[in-house]
Amino acid sequence: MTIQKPLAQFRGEFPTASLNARRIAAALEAPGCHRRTVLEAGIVNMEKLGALVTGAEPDRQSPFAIARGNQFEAQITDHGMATVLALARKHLGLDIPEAREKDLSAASVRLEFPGVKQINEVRARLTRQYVEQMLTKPTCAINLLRHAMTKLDFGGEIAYLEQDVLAFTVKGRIYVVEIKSYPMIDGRADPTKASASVRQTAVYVLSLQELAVSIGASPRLVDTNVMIVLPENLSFRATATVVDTEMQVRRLRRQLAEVPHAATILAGLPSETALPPLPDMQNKEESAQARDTACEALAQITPRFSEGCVPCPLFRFCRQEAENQQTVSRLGTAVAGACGSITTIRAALDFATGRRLPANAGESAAAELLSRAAAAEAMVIGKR
Amino acid sequence: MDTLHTYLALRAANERKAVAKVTRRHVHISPRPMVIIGYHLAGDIGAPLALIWGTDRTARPHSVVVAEPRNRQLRFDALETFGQSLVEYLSGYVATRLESRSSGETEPVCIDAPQIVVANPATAEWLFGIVGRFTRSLSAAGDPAPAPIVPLAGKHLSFFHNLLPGSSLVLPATEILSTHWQTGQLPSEDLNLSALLGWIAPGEGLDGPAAARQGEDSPPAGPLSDPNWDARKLSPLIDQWHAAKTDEAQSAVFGELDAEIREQLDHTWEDCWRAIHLVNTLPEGDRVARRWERDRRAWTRHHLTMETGTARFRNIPTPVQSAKTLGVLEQATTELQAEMALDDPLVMAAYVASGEALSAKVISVDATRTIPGPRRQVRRPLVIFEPLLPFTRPAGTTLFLVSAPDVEFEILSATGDEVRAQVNKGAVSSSTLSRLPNPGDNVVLSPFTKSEFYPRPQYDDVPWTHRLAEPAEEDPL
Repeated sequence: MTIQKPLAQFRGEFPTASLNARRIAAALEAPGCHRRTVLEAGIVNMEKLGALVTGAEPDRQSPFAIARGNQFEAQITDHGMATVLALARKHLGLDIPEAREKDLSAASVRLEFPGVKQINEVRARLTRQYVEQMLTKPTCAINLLRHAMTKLDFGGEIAYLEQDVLAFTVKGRIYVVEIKSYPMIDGRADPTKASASVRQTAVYVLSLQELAVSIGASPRLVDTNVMIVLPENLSFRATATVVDTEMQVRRLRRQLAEVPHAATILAGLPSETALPPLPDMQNKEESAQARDTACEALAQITPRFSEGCVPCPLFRFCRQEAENQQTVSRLGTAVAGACGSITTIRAALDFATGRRLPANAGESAAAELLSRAAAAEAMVIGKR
Repeated sequence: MDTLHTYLALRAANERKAVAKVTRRHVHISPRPMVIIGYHLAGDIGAPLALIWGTDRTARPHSVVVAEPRNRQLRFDALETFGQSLVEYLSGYVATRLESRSSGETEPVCIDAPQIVVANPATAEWLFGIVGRFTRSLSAAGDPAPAPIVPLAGKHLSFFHNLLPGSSLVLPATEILSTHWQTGQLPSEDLNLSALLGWIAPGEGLDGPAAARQGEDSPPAGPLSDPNWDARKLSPLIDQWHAAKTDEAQSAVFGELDAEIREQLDHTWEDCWRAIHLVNTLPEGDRVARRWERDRRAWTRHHLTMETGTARFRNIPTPVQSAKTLGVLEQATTELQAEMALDDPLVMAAYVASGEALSAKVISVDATRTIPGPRRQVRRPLVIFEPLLPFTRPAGTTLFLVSAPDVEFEILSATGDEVRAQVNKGAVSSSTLSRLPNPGDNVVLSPFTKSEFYPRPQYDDVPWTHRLAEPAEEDPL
């Protein structure tokens, strides 16, 4: 891993978990959070950290959901990718006679290169090699990659990105295919799940585009039209939809550029700030001590609590913190936005009831709106 | 979120308890609603795991549990039991009486309509959208074949899907609670019924946030079960059920499974009834009965199509149907917004706070004022107000008197301490002049008038909003 020193120091011996598109997409849904940036860039295992500091069991995926997802994916990728090829012909309008696939998953790479050390680096190098061949010798090279490994700069750190998707080339262009197991019902998928998938797929597209650039090819060779394969209605029959992710890719590129440098954030902290090693959770004393250390370390890094925090493993921790500090962001983006530069609930209410007078233009705009609301309510309910 | 609700959210957080958003109840509550709660298997929205339902809070709810939710025969058996109960409940609402329409004709309308209460919008979407959608057209010739009651119940469930805003035929508990109360947490946290109830009625020795945390730790209200419970309890029990060699052993495992699932769902059963009870403590808004009448008419139409076997449901609406639905939805949304505001001064306060409505004291009324009309002088009374909150809408804005929403005012000028408005409609003849306010009265003028009947939009052709994009023509240059 190429994690920089300050991050490695901050993480200490706390367990790691590699980054994936889901994590990156989710982190970008809660923009401006220094705490999360540091933890993601330091590839900290957030589930375990969340469980340690909140004392709650980490949320896992239901075994039933996993089983169904695997069953669907196996069916789609069986028989020489027959289903994927048929769908790609139909939905992407591509002319592909056959799939020459290569599996770059950790297990399969280990099988091929026994005893290899830095498995992710090897996978990334292989991915690069194959993509290069795909783009230069499209007629005889591998034309379908599974579980490729690409790199992406997140907060100044190079994140290895394990791709869940398939990438295949036709006539020198790369297309991304994502397989999901939530159903498309009467031509419509659950909008929340669908938009999450699109955001995740955009992460893959972006990192493949950057790979193309790094081998001297045009990023446009990676098509932003991605094919998402879903089960149709309640069956296991596959159907697909093509989504143009260009807008999401552009947004993502902008967001990633705005992610503050994790190392810079850490530079301002006392040098001994670090996460503890993961304790034996059965040992009450040891885990209480570790929890205190972890909470102290986290408290040093400024969070930004918002609506996008709900899926974050640290949600309950940060929520409690926001509640203790009585910040307006505890109430969500809409309330925080309306309060402008006023940060605490108490201050906002003082402005609303006229107990406190605004000192600057930012405060007076919000104070005027809030005091109107308080006055309008008082007319109905009577003075309190 | 408008500024009044922002302010109320701040207060709720500060007081550590939800605050009232309304002074009236804006939904109809049936004396005998049917509460339905259910789980489906994770990742498999078409596989019900369990349903509990009933119409009596004090009685033990009915239930079905599917030991192997992926087995279609077992699924149909469970849906048969549920379907019988549902159809029996609905059949209590078929008696009609003659009622007159606004056009003067009379027609038979069901005296009362059924009401289904579910925990949250996701349950409604699952039960009516998915279970209804995939059982309504099941063929009796299928293998395994469902009992005829299953597709029949499916048709009824489908009727309850996608009702209009303002309908009380289906009440998702979280939705009715958050219409009436404002909590001090994230809006998405309000989707958890137990947490929401914690904020509204924290119970002995707890405050809102503490009660909400407790609520969060109880099993989910469905339709998705707790994934950790799936892994720890459900999955091993289903495996044991498959492994059981004898009928006796299998029914023993089933008993265990049944008890385990009941334990997950029972508190939501109680929560739903608490939600109904809490909302029911508020006095009903004046226009709620009118909306319930519309519900009764909708139910009557459904009942008649079921009677005659002409009930039809489309899986994918045609573009013209979509355009019509959109028009009807827009109209119902605006109407509901207006009716709630006219019924409830606290709902109206949000519009006063945002500056759309004027809350003012009447300074003077000139009822005899006339202005030149197209042919002769016409009476246009002039009212001068002193605004209680600054009012800055431009001259020409049309507002209506909240106490008599068909009296229409036009703003002539608005300054910090004086708003001049003339009456254009509703109180311009000697017989209606008495509807004008009197000097010294405190009044509210709002953008809401009494609802008008608009015919449903008709389209001969697909409107442009619902056409597929045509490929752009080549630029000739």
